[in-house]
Amino acid sequence: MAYLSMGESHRRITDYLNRFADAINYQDGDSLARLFSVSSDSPSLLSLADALNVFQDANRLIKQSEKFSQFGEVVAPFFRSLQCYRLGNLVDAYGAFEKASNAFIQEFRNWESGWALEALYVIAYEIRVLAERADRELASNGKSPEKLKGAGSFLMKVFGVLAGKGPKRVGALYVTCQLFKIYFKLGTVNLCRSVIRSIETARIFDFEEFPIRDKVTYMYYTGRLEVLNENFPAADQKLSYALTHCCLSKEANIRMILKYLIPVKLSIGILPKKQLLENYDLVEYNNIVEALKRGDLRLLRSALQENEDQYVVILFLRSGVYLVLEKLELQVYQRLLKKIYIIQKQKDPSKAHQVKLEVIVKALKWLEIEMDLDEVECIVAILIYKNLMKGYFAHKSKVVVLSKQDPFPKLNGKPVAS
Amino acid sequence: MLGLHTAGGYPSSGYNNQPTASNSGSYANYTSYQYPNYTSDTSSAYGSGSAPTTFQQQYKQWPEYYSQTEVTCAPGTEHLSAAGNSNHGSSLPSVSGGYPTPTNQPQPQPLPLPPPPPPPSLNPTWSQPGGAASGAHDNYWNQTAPSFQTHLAAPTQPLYQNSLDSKTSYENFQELKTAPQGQNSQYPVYQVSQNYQPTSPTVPSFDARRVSKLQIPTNPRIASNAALGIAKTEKDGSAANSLPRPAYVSVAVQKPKDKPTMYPKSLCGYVERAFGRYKDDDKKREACEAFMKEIITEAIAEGTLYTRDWDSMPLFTLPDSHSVNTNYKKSPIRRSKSRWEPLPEVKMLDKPVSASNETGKFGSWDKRTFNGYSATKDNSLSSFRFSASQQKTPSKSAQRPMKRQRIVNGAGLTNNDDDASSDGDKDQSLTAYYSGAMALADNPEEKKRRESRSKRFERGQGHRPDINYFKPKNAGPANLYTKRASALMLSKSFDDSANQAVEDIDWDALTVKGTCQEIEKRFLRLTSAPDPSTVRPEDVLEKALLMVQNSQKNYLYKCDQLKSIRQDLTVQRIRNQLTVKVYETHARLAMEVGDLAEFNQCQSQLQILYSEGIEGCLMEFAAYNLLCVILHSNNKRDLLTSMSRLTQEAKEDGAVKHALAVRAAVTSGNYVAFFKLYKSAPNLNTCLMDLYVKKMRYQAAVCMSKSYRPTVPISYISQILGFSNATAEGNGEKVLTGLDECLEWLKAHGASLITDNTGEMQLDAKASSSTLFMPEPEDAVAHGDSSLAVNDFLARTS
Repeated sequence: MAYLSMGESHRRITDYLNRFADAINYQDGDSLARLFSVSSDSPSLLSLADALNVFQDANRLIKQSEKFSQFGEVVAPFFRSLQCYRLGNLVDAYGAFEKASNAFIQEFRNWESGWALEALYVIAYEIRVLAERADRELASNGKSPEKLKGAGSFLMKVFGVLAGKGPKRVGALYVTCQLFKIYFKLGTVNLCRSVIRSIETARIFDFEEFPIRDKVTYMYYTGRLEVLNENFPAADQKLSYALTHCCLSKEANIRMILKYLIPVKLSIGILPKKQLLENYDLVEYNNIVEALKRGDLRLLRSALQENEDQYVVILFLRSGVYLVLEKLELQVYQRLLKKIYIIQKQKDPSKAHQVKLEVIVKALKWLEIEMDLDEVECIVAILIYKNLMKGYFAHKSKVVVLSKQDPFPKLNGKPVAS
Repeated sequence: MLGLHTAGGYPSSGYNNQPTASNSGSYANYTSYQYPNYTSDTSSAYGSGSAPTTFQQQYKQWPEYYSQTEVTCAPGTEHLSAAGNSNHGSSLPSVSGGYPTPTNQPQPQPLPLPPPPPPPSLNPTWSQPGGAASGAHDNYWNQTAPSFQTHLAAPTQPLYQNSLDSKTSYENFQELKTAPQGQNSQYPVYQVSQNYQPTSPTVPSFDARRVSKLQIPTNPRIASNAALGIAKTEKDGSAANSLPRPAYVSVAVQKPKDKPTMYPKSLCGYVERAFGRYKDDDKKREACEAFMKEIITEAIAEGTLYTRDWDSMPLFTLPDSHSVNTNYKKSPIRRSKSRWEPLPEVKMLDKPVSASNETGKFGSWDKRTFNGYSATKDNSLSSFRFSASQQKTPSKSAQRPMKRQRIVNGAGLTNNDDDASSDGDKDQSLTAYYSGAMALADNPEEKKRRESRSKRFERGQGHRPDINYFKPKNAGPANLYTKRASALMLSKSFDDSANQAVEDIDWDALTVKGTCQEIEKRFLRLTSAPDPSTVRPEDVLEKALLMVQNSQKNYLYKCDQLKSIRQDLTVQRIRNQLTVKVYETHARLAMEVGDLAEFNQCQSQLQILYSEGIEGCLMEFAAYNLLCVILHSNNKRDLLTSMSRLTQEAKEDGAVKHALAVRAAVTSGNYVAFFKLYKSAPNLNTCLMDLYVKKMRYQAAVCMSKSYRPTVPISYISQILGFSNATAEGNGEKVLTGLDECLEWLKAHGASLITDNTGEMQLDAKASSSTLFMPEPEDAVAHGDSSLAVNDFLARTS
């Protein structure tokens, strides 16, 4: 860092203060937003941070002038935050930023119009990002990371400020999405419920009114929640909404949506084209789709079994789709039985609807899956019970008697009966 | 003189908040029940015009009290305060007669008059001046001591003192007169003051309030201690409660030497001095002017304009009084639109209702604390800011004083041998004293302001806890509790202003070290701080654990013992292998009897302990954890996290593998696999699976009845659903074969059974598919397990 003179530092600080004052006076939300984005590492803020480190008594500058001192409660802690951020002290940077944000929220509460929403968005974003980094710092120092939790409750407060009748309510969804991100990160997804309830039931909110960006994010997260609840139709609806409304240029986002949408679609019997998986680098699903197509239980199991290919499995576990994918096993069994049925039909159409248990066991053996008769019987029973197969099982003769009409009904977008 | 011209206008606009303002001030009107006497005869005489006086008086008083050298009340003189108190009370009636000629001449006072009892019939009138009344109690604290002190210090002046007091009673009255103007909803207030009333020396009731408000975990021993401590200095309890605060002698009451006709020279000088301080600050000048007006108006109304010693009268502290004003004048309902907009001047016009409501809600306690607080805040107009920000939202402003007050209360309670008053009061008056002194000494230059601000922090944070910590260690353990209590209090109260205070708590120093040597101990949920004499140290706990492990008694006994062991470990903050062992033992026992609630408690503690790196049966319990999540909580998220947390090593472990296999069986509904795993379960996995067996069997029966046609042999069902050898072994003579058991089970669940031509029992699948049901468990008990039924327990233990 080149030597920075006192004068230059002083100039930079007053420059910032002037811009801040102007942004507020002219109600210029965008400019104000830029002035808050600590973690953006924008050159102007970085140079301001350097200046602050040189010119230690910035608070005096703020207090000196009436013009600046009126928002000293916001700017002073913000300066401290920026300073700490520059010096790599993220915990303190977060603490000071929260203080500044708190003061800002107090002011924001009083502004009738939503001109400062952009700035509020930046603050909500910064709060989360700084908290995450602060937690990383805390964890590396062996302390308990708690800042993100604090950021969660702070944003909850911000949500309360926005959840009103005024024009500011359109900002509520953005804060909600930031909250989702925090809760998903912390693993406290059950906390999402209260926010969702107020978004979906409160009369002040009209979902269509929110910015499209926030709607997509919201649908993505609520869709993920539905995946966890194994409520596949709802998950499908929400994730599809997110997918169709997501900006096509945001490939990373589309990939994230597809990561959940594909398992959901699979579990309601809809397979993706290979091209899609390749386009969005979702090759981890290749084997699973293939297994479903071929009725290859071994392939499915190896895709989900934890052997050498740990990474993918852990990925599935982390994202929470593991259990969904695991449930595809029944569909694979169905496919296998259907294949047997088709082969039998080719051989002898009159006896095709009677599948001997032995045959199934043998087929499984070819797939190197050892299962005894009882277990296979049980699987068959479950398939019939869950309506993946029409017919009945005759215990005495150990034969599956398939219905003559549509013995293997397609799911057609309906989930497997539970 | 500006003040004199405009004085008339004030009562209608500016002084609506009279009662509150005077509450927060210091002037005494402790004998509020005098009021009714006055209403009858003097109401017309003292119209609203006289209102400002009380208001003003306090401004005179504050600096007077705090600028003068303080003379702390010596221990042992307290009894005098009581006398002084009754004295003042009794003096008042005579004052009413004396009023028409308001002078400073000492009124002959019938000293031994009994204090007039609060007439219950006066309630309706009471409701009006409520705010003032409660304020009066408040003021009592401030006032009695000094006045009484004067008795002591200057025995030649008692009569003057009385006359001054009588004056206060006028003010009190006048103030009450103005109350109707503003106080629309006095009812709640009235109730508060009535609360105070019955105990005529109002202080005891304060104490009662204080105690009742305290959130400190009150160990009976602390309380008794406190009582003891007080008893040391005071003989009877009520007197102890009414201890006056350390007095700062008011030397203000001096005999006037001259009586000029117009405004006395000394007054002019005083005004000049006052304005001189704020030469270069217009705003402050304005504010200053306003105060001067008030002071002078009041002096006139009081008739003390000429009698006051203006020369020796210290300048008022502007911010102090202002913040007091704003605190109570500004309606807490509406705050200024934005602090970034120009701040409005003190809002004199704001509804007094809210102010008086506040009075009612918090009693005058808060105000005093609040007052002390704001007094220390700052010495310039910038305190507008502070006071405004304190009023941010009505609820907040309502909460905050409460919070702060608690500290004071806490300090007051824990501090039992302070002779004169509670610590909080002392501390506050100290801070007030300092800030007052500062205000007098300095012009409100930036530097000085900072100094005082830093003082505030010193006083506000450093000092209070100190007082608590420097207590003589009169009772070892009890002292510890008070420390802890005050520490907790601090952590609660200072959350917004002083984070350090929270972090400063030294939990190690507060941890209990047990001394109990008994091995057996019944579990009792703690309702107060733990008593070391009933807590067992680690070595004894080890023996206790062994005792429980080898005990032949039933689960309820063991559970009780283990819980008490756990409690002792917790309160002593012992977290080591012993802790793990205790929890593991308890978890296993709980599992064996199917006490899932207790098991979950242990399990979650174990998770934390393991994650701290304490060794134990990690794998075994990882498996239990998995099973528990799978079979009982059915929380997908939890399952996923615990699965992704498993290390490769863990996945190789037999127990964990088994648990994972069970999970797979359950999610796919594979009952055959489930019951195979049930038979081959390691450790106590069976116990956890046991709890799921019923459900699984039912699912299986439903599934089979739907997919099998026409029949399923019972023998087969019994075999795959784990009936055959599950329970047949241990029952000795009364052997129930798996088949019979299965038959009974199916019947109980509404299956329709037929016998085929070979004589074998069959399940009629089609018929059963519509008749199967899950019966209500016959042996259902509230806590979910029949083995825990009370009758059973009593039968076994007796």
